[in-house]
Amino acid sequence: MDEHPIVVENLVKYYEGRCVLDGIGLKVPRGCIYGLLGRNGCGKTTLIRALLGLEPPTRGRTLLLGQDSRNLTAGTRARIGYVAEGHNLIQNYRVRRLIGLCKDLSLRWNAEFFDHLMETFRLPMDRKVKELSAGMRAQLNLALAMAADPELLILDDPTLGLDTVARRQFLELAIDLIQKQDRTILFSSHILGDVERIADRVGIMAGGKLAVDCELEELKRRVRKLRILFPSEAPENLYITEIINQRNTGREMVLTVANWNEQKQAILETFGPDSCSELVMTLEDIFIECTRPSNAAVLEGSEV
Amino acid sequence: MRTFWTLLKREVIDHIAYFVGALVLSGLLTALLVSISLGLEGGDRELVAIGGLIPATIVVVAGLCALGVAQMYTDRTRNVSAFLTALPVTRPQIFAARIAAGVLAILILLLPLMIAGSIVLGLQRAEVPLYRGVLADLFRSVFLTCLACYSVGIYAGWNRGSLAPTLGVLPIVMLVPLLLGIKGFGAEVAVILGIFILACLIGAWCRFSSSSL
Repeated sequence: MDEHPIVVENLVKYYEGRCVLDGIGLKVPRGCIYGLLGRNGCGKTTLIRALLGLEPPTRGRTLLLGQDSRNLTAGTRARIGYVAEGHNLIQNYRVRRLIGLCKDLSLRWNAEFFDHLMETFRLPMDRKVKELSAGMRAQLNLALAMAADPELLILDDPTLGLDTVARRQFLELAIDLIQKQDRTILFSSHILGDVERIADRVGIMAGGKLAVDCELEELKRRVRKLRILFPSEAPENLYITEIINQRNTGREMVLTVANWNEQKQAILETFGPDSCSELVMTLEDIFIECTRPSNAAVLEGSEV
Repeated sequence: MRTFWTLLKREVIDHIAYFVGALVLSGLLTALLVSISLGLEGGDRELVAIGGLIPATIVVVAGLCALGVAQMYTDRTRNVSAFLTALPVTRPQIFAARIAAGVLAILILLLPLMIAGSIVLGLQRAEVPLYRGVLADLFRSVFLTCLACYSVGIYAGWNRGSLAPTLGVLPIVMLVPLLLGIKGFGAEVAVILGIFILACLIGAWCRFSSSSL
């Protein structure tokens, strides 16, 4: 049994001279539900594709279930379920044929569970995949990934393009499936509410780097947003390290800072503020702060 | 082995038009062979043979190249391999099944012809004395020529989505059968074609195995 089913070591990927992944390092422990966040085009899908051996890396390596992604054997692939962004199914196949193909190729097909899912979804078996709605395609893709009873499930923005109802249905089913069985899950999304609901560890990608990699609760604890009122004009520079964002308006300063501690508090006290109150931060607030272009390096250096 | 058969079945069903075409063409050519050998005499025989052989060669050569292109090109545009490798399937298995499907198409085309040829040879006394194993040499050379045309298609089909380089190989493919006309059906041709096929397939494999899916 691998302690870390997902390992990424110094992964670098260039696309036509542009650096998409810049030295990513990541280890996802067994049984963890890892939420990978990032803005569009930040490299989430490239990282996932590299993990699955679909994208050759420029430098570095990735391991899935202890095996190099570029040389995954059929036996290892059988232990991995993958739901691709945009639900990359063979579009011109009929649903029945696609299911038959997956069933024939699967090394451990859980027919009972799959039939149960198909009964729930009620997908039209004689229709071509390209004729299905985005929601139906998502359901079919999830059912096919889950039927193989995978130890490791990789979901690349599975709710992309779904309307609110379909997204909610998909997530509820996914949560239900995830909770029932102890498996490692890598879940990429740009919908923070989805990740907040199911992830117990998060990674935030920005500027080709993994700016944040920690447990969700720890992230919320470490990143603080403070509203500070000064007797006169707020100072331009507080000389505090790891400031993620600072906004001054007259006497008021709104400061977002990583790893807030007593030392930083003491430095702030030397400026003699009238008051200092903490503002509640949601994951969305943290995400927005972390993905500002100038802040990726701050967070990475602070090892949040 | 089950995976291989499933992938082979998928290749055949996805490109069924080519396999049916090979079967129909094989039937037509067998009928032509039999009618030439048994039904015609003298100048008529040569006229019909040449008149039938040239268009048939063009169709076979272009068809097999098109099969190779179709297998790789549709995979690229429909992300077939990307989907398959998310299942317990590896790239070598996909590639091997693809080549096996091509070989199967060639055998569907050639085997009935060769069987008919051996029967006709057994029934008729040849006008010029033939050496033992002429049919085997003929089969080997024609088979390798067909495989070479198919291999060029496999090599050219895996590109960045543009049809221009794919269509560009057609003139090259048309030149391959000329080798038989120039060098005959001996071992030398088999070696040349063997090297050519190997180069095409290694090139195609390198492209397929190292590129993004």
